[in-house]
Amino acid sequence: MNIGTRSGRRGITSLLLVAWCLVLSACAPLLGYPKDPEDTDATLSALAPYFNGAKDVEYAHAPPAAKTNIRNEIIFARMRAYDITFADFEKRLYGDGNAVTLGSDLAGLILAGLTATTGNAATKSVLGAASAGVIGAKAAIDKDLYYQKTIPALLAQMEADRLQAKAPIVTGMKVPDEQYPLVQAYIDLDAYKNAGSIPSAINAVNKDAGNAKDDALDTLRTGVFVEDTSGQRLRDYLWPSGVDKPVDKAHLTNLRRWMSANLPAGVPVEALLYGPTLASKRKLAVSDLAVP
Amino acid sequence: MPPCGIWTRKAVPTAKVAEVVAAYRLDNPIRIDKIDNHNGTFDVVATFPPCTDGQANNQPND
Repeated sequence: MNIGTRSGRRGITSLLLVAWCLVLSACAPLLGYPKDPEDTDATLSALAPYFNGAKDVEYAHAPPAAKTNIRNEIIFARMRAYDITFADFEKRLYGDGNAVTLGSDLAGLILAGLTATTGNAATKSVLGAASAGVIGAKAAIDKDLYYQKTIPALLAQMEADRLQAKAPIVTGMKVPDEQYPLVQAYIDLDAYKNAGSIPSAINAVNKDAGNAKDDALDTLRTGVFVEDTSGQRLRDYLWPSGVDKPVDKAHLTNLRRWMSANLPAGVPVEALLYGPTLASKRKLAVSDLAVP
Repeated sequence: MPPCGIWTRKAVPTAKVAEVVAAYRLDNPIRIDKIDNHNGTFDVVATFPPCTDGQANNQPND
């Protein structure tokens, strides 16, 4: 009995190991990036003098004629280090999400399959529990990785921001040290480093979205008068007895509720009724609100 | 968020000015001006409270 149980446990352990190896081997090509032939850890170690103050001392004591070269050397070294760390960050940001999601999917499927095909009841029970555990863990991880869908957009924003931040540095490197001293370069380098961060990318994306929203409102703000059937029906819906009589408050509430769900915030009712660019929205409002 | 800044409806036929004014009044503007274009139309300008930081910038460009 004991021997049978031990042998069963050994079998389950072997199966789990095989399943895990399959998962690991399946994850490698899912990271989305080729293996880097450069030993970036060694490169970063070699760049340490450009971060620990050693090169700053050399720059400070250098004759004016040599300062520009040392400044550019420091800038190049720092940019190289920031590029390496950003590339690593980018790989992990993109690759780890895939590995977790697909890896746990595969592990869950394998364990569930084994549960169904293994004869022994005890083994079924253990494998079933393991399968549920992996799938449950994946669900929890998915919650933490909800932003995974937005990662490509954030990465694109980060790369655009880095390019933008790189421009003044490259320009500065072409002029003498007196015109672009190392202190100024450090300020620009910090901006370059921070441009590759998620908070910075989110801010930029939100700003773009805000600008687009403002543009949409600006378009609506001024326009020629347009009267169409839908506009007339909405007008009669709001003022069944005529515009010189009180508005139907219940209908106005319904229309405002519809507008808050279908138009940018801050658009007056007038713009919906008579705006030249909102004809399709008027028609939709008439349909959604069953306006007679 | 209520409307802010200035909203303008241009070339409103004289017979429709009252409708446009009534529609603007639903959102409680500070004032409403009617500018006669002398061609049988008016421009109706509704002035709402100024846009503040954090609100969409729908202030006039000009």
